[in-house]
Order: sequence, then C-alpha cells, then structure tokens
Amino acid sequence: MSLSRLVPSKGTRVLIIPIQSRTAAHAAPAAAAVKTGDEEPSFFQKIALRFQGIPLKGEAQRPKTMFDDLDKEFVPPEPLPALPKDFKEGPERDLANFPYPARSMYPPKTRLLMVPDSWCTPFHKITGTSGPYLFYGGLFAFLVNKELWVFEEQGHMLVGWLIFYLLVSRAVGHKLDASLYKGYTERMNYFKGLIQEDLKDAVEFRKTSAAETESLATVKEAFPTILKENMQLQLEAAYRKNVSNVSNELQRRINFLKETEEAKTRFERDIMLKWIVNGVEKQTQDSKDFRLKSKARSSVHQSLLWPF
Amino acid sequence: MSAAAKRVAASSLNWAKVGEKLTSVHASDLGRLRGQNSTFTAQVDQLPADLPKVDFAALKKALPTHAATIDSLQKQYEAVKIPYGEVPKEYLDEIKQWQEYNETRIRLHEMKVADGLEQAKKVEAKWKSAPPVEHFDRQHFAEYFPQHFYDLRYQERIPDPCSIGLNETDAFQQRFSDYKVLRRPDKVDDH
Repeated sequence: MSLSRLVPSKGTRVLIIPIQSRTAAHAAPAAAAVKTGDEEPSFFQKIALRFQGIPLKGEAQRPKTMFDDLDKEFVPPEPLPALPKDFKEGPERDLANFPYPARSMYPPKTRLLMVPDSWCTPFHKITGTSGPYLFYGGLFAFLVNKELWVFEEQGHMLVGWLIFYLLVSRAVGHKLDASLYKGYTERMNYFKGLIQEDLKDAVEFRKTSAAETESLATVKEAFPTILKENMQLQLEAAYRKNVSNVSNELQRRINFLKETEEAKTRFERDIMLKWIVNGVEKQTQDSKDFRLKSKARSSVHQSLLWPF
Repeated sequence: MSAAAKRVAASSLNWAKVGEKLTSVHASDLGRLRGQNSTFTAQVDQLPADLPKVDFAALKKALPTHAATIDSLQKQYEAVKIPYGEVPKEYLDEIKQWQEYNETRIRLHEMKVADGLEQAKKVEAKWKSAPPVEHFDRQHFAEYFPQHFYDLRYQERIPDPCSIGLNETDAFQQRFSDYKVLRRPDKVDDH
C-alpha cells in the first residue's frame, strides 16, 4: 500500500490549491466560451480545455487528461478475502495470545498525517478527544524547551521533501496504486493457479481412478464371457463348415447320379437317333438302288423287248 | 445342433454398453476381441445351421436306375452324425488363469487407488488448512510452494534468485564446503 494513503484527500486540497486554482483560472474563460458556443476557442483555450478533459466541438468522446487521476483515491474493486473464523494452521496454535497476523487491505488510521490513531484513542476515556493532541503537543513543546529535541540545521529541508512527496503522491498516486494493485492481483492469481493445479491433480486422480475401477469391473464381468463366446462361435463355425461339407458332398453325388442318368439317356437317344437315321438312310439307299436296279432292269427288259 | 444354435443366439453381448464403461487401454482389448467375434459371427452367418432335408423318394422316382445307390446314400446321409466338438479344457484353464491375473490386477489397482486417495486427501487437507494466499506469511511460501521458494534457514542450498540452476547439482557445495584447500583426492600430501 502506498504512502499516499497517509494523506487524507481533504487535507491535500489546501496544498494543491494553487495548481487547481491556476487550472481553473485558465479553464474558466474557455469553459465560458464553450458554453456560449458562439466563438471558436483560441489556441490556449483549446489547451486548457484539453487539460480539463472537456471535449471540443465535434468531438464525441471526452479527451483523456493527465489531471483525471489528480487527487483521486484508488479503491480496489474487491477487498482481500477474509480469513476463516478461528483459523488455525495447526492444533497447537494459540489464537488467544498469538492471533494470526491477517493482512489488512488498508494501513491503520492516522491523525495529522502520521500520528497513529491507536496512540490517541486510549486518551479518550480520561482526557476527552482533545487530550491526545494536548499531550503530544505538550510533550513536543517540553522536549523542544528542554532541548531534548534539537532541531537539526538542515531539518527544514524535510518540509520541502514532504511537500514534494505530497504533490507527487496526489498527482500519480492513483495510477501507481492501480498498477501496483494489478501486479499484486496477478501474482496472487498465479499462486491461486498453482493451488488449483495441485488440487486438480487430486480431482483428476479421483476421476481417473474411478473410471479405471469401473473399467476393470466391467472387464472382469464381460471378458471371460466374451472369450468363451468367441470359442463357442469358433466351434459353431467349424460345425457349420462340416455340415456344409457333408451337404455339398451329398449334393455332388446326387448331381453325379443325375448327370450319369442324363448321359445315359443322351447316349440312348443318340444311338436311337443314329439307328433310325441309319435305317432310314439305308432304306432310302435301298430304295434308290431298287429304283436304279428296276430302272436298269426295265431298260434291260425294254432292250430285250425292244433291241432295235 | 439346436443347442449350438441356441448358444450362438444367446451369446449376443451389448458391446456398446460394455465399450462405454471401458478406459482406452481396455477398449483396445475389447476391440480385438470384438474383431474376432465379428469374424466368427460372419462365418457362422454364411454357413447353414443344419443338414438340409433331401427328398430321396423323389430322387428315386427321377432316377429309377440308381435307386440302389440312392438308398445307400440315404442310409449314409441319415446315419451321418457330425460331432459338435467342445472347447478344450486347457483353453478354459487359460481363461481361468487370465481371470486370476485380472483379479491380481484389480487388487493392485485398488492398492494404488488407496495410496493415491491418501495422497489426494493429504493434498486437499493441506490446502484446506492453508490460509488464503493473500494472507500468506513469508515462511508460508516456502512451506506451500517449495518448487518456487526456499527457506535457507534449514535448506542447504546456495541462494539462486534468478534460477540459473546453481542447486541442480551439488558441485558448488562440494567446491565450497572447505575453503582452505582445493586438492584432488588422488594427490598425496607428502610434505
């Protein structure tokens, strides 16, 4: 947490009044000119408007100005996570005497920029609210009076440094805090990622081991059945192959018988046909010869009858 | 024969349901078994389940000259008994042996799971008892993230903030364990 929180926002306004008043003084005529809308702002007025973050004519968006974050307090979007109630690292932890040092989001409250509030509150019951101021003021006066607190000759330089610190912290404190908070958040997220990774292994192990257990149980239940079934199927396949062989062989024999029968019939038919054809041919031949013979005979007869 | 048919019919397994429950390692085993099963099933499906009935009387009518042969064939055909066969005992014994192996495997897996669960519980208990990381103390980082932080109060190591690997070997510890001398072990101190 940056030291800029030591300075209350209200208190610093007194210190940076000159800056604010100066910018306001510059911006006033420009703002007036813009408000009227009659005249085009001059070059310096434009610069002032730019610094103030007021858009010019025709500009849709407000310009980003370096004074946007001036005197702004950075408030983190979310507070730190609270520790669990009665958090103990181990059973032996004495929470009563040694409470866990939980990290606080903001520094402890202070008064007058640097006096811890816890130093003042015990006075309230006895001396009232102004008591601590009187006490510390009186103590300081006593120490200075008795020269127990000796002003160092260069001590006044501290005032300048304080003013310088206040100016810088008010000017860039917001940006600084924001960037530091961003870095802090990233680092915390990195560690949270490591934790999640570690826990993820455990969760993954539970998942995978449960799946493996179920798988092994299924294997135990199903695989012997499958193995036996595969062998039964092989037996069945062999049996059916034998059946197929037997029926094929029978069919082959029947086919052979049929073929022999057909061949026999075919031969018989062929022989019969041949016999018939031969017979017919023979008959025709015979008749032809007869005719020729008869013709010859008749011609002989005729020649015999009619020799001239 | 009908018993065989029954066996084949009854052996249908819900492969998809079994496959869903298996991990990838066992799924490949199941794939191989399923391949065998589908091969044999295809063979069984292609072949006839039983001997077909032959009308020998019609044959005799058709082939009267071969009646005697057909009679003989019929007798032989009706007398033929195709043995069904049975699964050899040694194969069944192998299945039993495999079952024993599987039981052992399951027991080993259970032991592994028990050990792993113990470790997982330890890890979960560790992070449950840890404070939120935003509230970590300096020593908590070394305690909870030993890979990223070290505690030189009790760890013997050389500070290595840039992680250039000074502590990967013990060469540096050896080298600087004694600053007085640096001598080779084989060197004889004779003077």
